[in-house]
Amino acid sequence: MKKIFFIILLVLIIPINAYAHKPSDSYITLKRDGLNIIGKWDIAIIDLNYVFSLDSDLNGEITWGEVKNAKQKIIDYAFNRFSISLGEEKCKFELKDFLIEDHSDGHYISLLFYVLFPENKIKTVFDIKYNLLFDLDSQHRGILQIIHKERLITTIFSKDHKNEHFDLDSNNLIKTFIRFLREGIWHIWIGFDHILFLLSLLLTSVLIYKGNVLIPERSFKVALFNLVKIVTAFTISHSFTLAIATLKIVQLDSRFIESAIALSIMIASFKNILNFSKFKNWVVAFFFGLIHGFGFSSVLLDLGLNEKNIFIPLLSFNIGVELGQLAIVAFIFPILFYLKDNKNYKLFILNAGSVIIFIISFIWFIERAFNFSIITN
Amino acid sequence: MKHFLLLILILFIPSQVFSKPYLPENDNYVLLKLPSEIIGNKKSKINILKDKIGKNPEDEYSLVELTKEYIKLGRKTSDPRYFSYANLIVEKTIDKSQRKSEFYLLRGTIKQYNHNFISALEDLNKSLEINRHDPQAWLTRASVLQVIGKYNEAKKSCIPLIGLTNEVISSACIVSSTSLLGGLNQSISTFENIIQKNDISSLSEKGWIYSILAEMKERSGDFSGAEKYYKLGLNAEVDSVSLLTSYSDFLISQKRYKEVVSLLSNKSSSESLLVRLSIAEKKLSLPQYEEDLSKLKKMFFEEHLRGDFIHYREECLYDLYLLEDVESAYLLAVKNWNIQKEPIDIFLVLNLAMKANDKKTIDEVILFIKENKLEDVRLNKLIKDFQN
Repeated sequence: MKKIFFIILLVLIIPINAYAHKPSDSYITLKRDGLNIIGKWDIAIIDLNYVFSLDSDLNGEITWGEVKNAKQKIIDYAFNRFSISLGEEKCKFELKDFLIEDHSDGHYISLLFYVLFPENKIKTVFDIKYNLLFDLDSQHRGILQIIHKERLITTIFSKDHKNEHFDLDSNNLIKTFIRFLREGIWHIWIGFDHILFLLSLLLTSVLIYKGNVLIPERSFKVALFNLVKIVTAFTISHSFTLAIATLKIVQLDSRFIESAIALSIMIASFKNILNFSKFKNWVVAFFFGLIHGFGFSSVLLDLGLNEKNIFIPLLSFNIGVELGQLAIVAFIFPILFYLKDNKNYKLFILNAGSVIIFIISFIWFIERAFNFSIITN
Repeated sequence: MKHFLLLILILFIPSQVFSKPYLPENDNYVLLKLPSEIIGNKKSKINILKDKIGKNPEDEYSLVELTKEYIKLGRKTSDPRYFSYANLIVEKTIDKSQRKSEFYLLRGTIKQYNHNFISALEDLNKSLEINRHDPQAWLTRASVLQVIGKYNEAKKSCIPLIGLTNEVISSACIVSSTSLLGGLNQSISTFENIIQKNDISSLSEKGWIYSILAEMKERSGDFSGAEKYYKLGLNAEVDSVSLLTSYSDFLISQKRYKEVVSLLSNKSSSESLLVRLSIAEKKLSLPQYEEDLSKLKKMFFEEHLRGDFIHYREECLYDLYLLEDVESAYLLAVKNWNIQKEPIDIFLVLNLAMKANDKKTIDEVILFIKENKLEDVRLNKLIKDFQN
């Protein structure tokens, strides 16, 4: 028999699926108890031992007596790493009890405490900072649960997410509705690309083809009807894609969408310059509205939706977008209708306007499609 | 959807989960027993290394060794915290280190434990780019590749071990993958010859070596051979959670539930073992079952609360055999199959896909088995029964 030489390998091949339990967590629960807000914070003894070496008699066993001896140290350590604040002011904490709690991976100390709000006024809007143990254990999580009006609000704090803003009544439907309605309106106002797209289509809505020549539309009614067709087609199609993208039924790459939106403006303005398309403006609005809907959706998703209640934000954001759009149209359309009879309308407004829009959207397209900065930083 | 599931979970959690905090009976009440490696006055490797690093924080040799010790302690206790402590040292040191290849290897090992297999491979490759002669890096790389189902690449990662380490270790690595690539019986006889030729009694890797043989024998249908090697492995490493896990899976597949209970009843602190123990207790209608089931419920509940759940295989077994929720078990089996492709993962997903009559997944799994020429009596029987 050959005696083989001894090599120390770690042989880490085996332990892949061998695990006892979850990594380190602490659990904080906040709830109203009569006139007070009461908190319960469970922190694992094994984690505290890593910070303080609680085994003072060095016998390998950490007893309740040893933990009690370190009580003040533990409390100071914990509450220096957790805060509830309202702007500049911080809530104070008053310890009520110091007990033991059992979790799935062993014993925890359980700190029961009162949260004292400034001037004794309990608020529902505040910020929480949590920074326990992240410097020692990057897998540590702080699991915070707030029980508010029969609702459970859960937040997981991690090394990369130490702060959270809370607005406990934000689930209030009316508040939510108003918030997303405003966001929708605001987005149209600052979303210059949607405005330019609409404007390109509106420029010709006050004109009519006679043979191959565009002449001013005499009838306000007919022009208005043109406009309604464009706006309605755009609304139907972008609402559709806004919904399917927000519900994550269809998802597209954001760079693709942003580039396609720029392209849609290029085409709409180019069509005005060359009169090349037989397509009606409302058809163009409908087709490209599908793409603009995806763009609206990425804005809505960026606002951070609560997946449990997606319907109200979707609806109110959409209504906001429509209101914003109507406001723009209501402003621009009468001006265009007034100007259309001017002999220079076609040259200075329609053609020059379209060329400018084309140039802007062309730059956007290059920037977005090739990730290349021309005018914006 | 995730939040919705969490809500459902919270609504239906057992009452024990929100147990009340209490005051221990007296000051001597023991709250935690520490592993001997970290007891303050012991001259353990960890304590000695910590002392050295305290005196000289730049001592990279000690930093590497301390990281290894934490990984070993993590393996021994199966407590993920020790892997975090190891990771902390690596992250603080790696960028400015003179021993980058070792730190990349250690970080890859930690990521492997956390099931970040792809990222683990990146680190192991970086380690090997710097030092192509580190057997541990090749071995760990092979094991990651094998877990994710890239058996052929795993085999290639074992080849450089020839010459870098002894014959037993290099062939253990090689047969682990060749036995999954159509050479099961050949792999068994080759490896049995090698361990007869070499005296392995002094090797610290005995438990691992026997477990490879036991699992190969089990797949070949030689159950008494498998039994023999599982026992040899457990003699060498009494508390190895992975050996206990695969041996109890073996016993459960043979309906030897009483043996599972006596094997695991005092080792139930580990989630993967507690699942197996509870399966056996349920089959035997033992009174202990209810208590162990509620322990498991609490474990899975708290793991899900973190939001980074990774142990799909264990939860799949839990859903399937304990809760008897076949649909949920199947979803987990598919998730698990997308990450891990060891024989047990393949068996779970195929068995449940057949029950769900999910043709696409069945075809996908069978294609994987055929492409690799994977041999396993239980898998083969499953496919044969299904095709009839």
